[in-house]
Amino acid sequence: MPRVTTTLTLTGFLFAACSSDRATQDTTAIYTQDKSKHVFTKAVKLSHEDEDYRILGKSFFKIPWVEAPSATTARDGLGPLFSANTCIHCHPHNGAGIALDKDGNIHRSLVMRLSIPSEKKLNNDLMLRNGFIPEPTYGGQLSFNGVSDVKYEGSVALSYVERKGAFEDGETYTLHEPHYELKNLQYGAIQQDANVAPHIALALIGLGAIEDIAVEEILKNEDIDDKDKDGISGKANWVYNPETNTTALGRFTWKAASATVKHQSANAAHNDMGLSNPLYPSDNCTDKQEECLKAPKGRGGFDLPMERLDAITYYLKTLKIPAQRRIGGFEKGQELFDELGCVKCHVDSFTTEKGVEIHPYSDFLLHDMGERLGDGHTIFKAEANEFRTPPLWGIGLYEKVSGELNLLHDGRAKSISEAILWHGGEAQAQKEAFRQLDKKQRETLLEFLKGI
Amino acid sequence: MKLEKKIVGSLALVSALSFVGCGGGGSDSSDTGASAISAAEKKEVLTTYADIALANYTDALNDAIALQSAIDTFKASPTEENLATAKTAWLSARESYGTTEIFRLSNGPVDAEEGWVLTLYGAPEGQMNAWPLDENMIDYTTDADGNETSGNIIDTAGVFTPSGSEASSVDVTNITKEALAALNENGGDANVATGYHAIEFLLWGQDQDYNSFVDDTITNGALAAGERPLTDFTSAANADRRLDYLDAASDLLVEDLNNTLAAWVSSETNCTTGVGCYRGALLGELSGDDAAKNIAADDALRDIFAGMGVFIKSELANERMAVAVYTPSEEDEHSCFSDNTHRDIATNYQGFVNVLKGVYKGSSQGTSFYSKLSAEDKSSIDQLIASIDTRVGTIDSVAKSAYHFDYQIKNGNSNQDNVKYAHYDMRDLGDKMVDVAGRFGITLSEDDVTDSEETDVTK
Repeated sequence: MPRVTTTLTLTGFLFAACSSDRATQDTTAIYTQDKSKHVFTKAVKLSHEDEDYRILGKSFFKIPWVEAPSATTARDGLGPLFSANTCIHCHPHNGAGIALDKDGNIHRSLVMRLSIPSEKKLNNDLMLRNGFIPEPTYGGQLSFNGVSDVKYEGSVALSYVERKGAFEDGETYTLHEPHYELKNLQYGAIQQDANVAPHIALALIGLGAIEDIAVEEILKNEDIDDKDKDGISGKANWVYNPETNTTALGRFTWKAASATVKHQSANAAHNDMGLSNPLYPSDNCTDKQEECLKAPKGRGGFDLPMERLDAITYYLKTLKIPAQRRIGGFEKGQELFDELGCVKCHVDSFTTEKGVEIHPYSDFLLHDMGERLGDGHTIFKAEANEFRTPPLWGIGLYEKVSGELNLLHDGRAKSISEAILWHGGEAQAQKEAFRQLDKKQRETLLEFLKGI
Repeated sequence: MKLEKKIVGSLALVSALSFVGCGGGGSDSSDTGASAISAAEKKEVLTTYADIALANYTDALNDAIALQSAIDTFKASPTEENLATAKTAWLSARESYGTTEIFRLSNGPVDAEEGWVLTLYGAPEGQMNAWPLDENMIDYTTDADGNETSGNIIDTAGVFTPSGSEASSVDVTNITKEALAALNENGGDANVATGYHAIEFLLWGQDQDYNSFVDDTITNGALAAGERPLTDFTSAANADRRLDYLDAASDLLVEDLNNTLAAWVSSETNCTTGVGCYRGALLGELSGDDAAKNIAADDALRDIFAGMGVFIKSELANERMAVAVYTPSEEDEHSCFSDNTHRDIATNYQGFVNVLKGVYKGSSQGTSFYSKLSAEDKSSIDQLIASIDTRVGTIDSVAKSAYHFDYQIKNGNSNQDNVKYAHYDMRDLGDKMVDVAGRFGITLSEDDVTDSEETDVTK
């Protein structure tokens, strides 16, 4: 990967915009000093009118949706099949999801994506639009809940096998290898060659800023054939954006399958809550699910009309970014992060199109992470073992915000150290370098990571 | 106009970032050269705060007991007259509870999210005052097409399972306090089974005369609230269960208010039962084994100032007013069954002024936070208060004479702008808590007085 060097000056741009034209406001890269569990819910300062719009979006993000038909009108139309009845359920305090609930059952913020192998010639339209072929009976995601007359789809048994390992200095560690079993399938057997990919909800940090990075800035780091022979490739995912009906650069989700915050919000509304919306106009039923197809619909067109989808998007894009907490061995840890080569994928700095410098620690590109981590899910250009580099900003606050720490695409890692030790594929060398650090160095590196 | 500030250097050194807003908002706390506020003065203002809480919760409890008694009378003799009396008692109970809401969001007994205060008092706020609520869970509703819903607590014999996610089943063969408490927020935040708003729905029924999608004609009119027929309590199916529900819900409300009030009692202190314990901790007066519970004055003030800001900005201005105006939908109106939202707004706002100025029911309760401010800060706060007084007064009088709040928020209504500017002013007033805190030597940023989530939805 060609490295775009940048200096790491921490510059915060602060705006108080008074324009009523929301589109031209730069409100995406403002930091909060808050360190409480509410840190990911802080918003930039807006004019009163824009604040009203943001609050409207927040209300649709937080207040539960209810089953149709109901006396409720603004948030009617949950399901018929759904995993959660609010967005916030899967992003506690806007943070990352959790793998297991307090009773030890799988938490709804860890969803099962379902797909079947694609025949290149068939299902062309599906492939163009979805990037994968949904399982014929259950669709693209297993719903854990259903409304009154509609059976839920199934549940999941999640167990972990402990895998022991040791650092070079002799200290041992334990990794938790997840095993999933679909249970209580209510609509018959699942197709034999179906792939089940567990994906946990991501933290909602700096989404507006990520969307503001110019395409070419992200593509600069692309190196599909590893021409510079550093073992790191980096590949853009090109996805179908239903809003614009065009192919666009994927930036969001574990596989970089969504182009914009709005695209991802609409997708989640449809898949996780069963809300029809302008980007995903139907309810989340397959043609084999009659009760689902026949269930009462919400009133007045889409469950989530465009104006409200836009409001949710605006709410998400005007959240503040947690400021770095540069304490302890931060500087030394940062040097290690660079020396080990972590920074090759977890790129430390971008300047957005609005001229704002941000430090997401991601290149937003796909990398092969090896068999042990692969989830078998292919979507658009993302292959079975490929994942988007997840941004690391705010990672030191995840546990406080969500109440638990569950890292990697399925939440299998309970600590940053475990997450690093799961790295394979293109990151095998960096993982090995980490394993060889002495305890003090490892702690210093982790101190840095907790501060970004 | 677009203002841009660029701060170069370590962000860690930047705290309490201030903005020059548009027509208000935060302003730099200027050092007026006033002397620092002493520990004795801090205790004095905290004592006033605790005294107002005690007086206000005492009234709220007494009014809830009056409601409980009116409901008992109605249950024994379900007549139109007794129904009207119960409704009047509910409206009266909301007056005193409304001003107590300023004590929320401050890590106090009513809703502390963690620590010994939560353990001792159990954060009963959600059981007393949760909103918005999905009324379908409680009793039948009639939708726009005239279809009645079923499958609710009232019409279920045996085990009831709320809809939503991760709901657990509860036996509702008998409608008891325990069953309702177990159902409250079971399966989702909107699954409200207890408290003022559950009682409100049972007394009034739906008021669905306006929403953003369809015109219904169930209870139509700018001055019409819900009109549950008396037959729901006499000859209709499950009439007895509705009466049992009201009975159990009002008993639970009284119990919860009793426990909350106990925290503020000044005449005795017992940290095992909770009586007077929170007040003692807030004023740093606990001793012996309980001394560890004492809350440092600066921490107490910080929680109170941030809580006041969050309450008036995020809860009142945003959740209860902005959302209602912009959805606009019936369910986003606070007391939507009784159309009493104008009073919720007035009393919630009055509670803020009470605590800021050390006043209750118009008379001084002691040294106030406000009294310690610079003349300049007092004046800018007073300007906002004068403006809000007028606007909230207008919302109140229009609601009584021409349009209930659910009509005032309609696009094109002559009072819609007034509602809008009222909540803008309230936001600015919330931001002033940054300056108030500054005067007490406490650094708050606008982040601290904004948008803290009022409920922990991950439980």
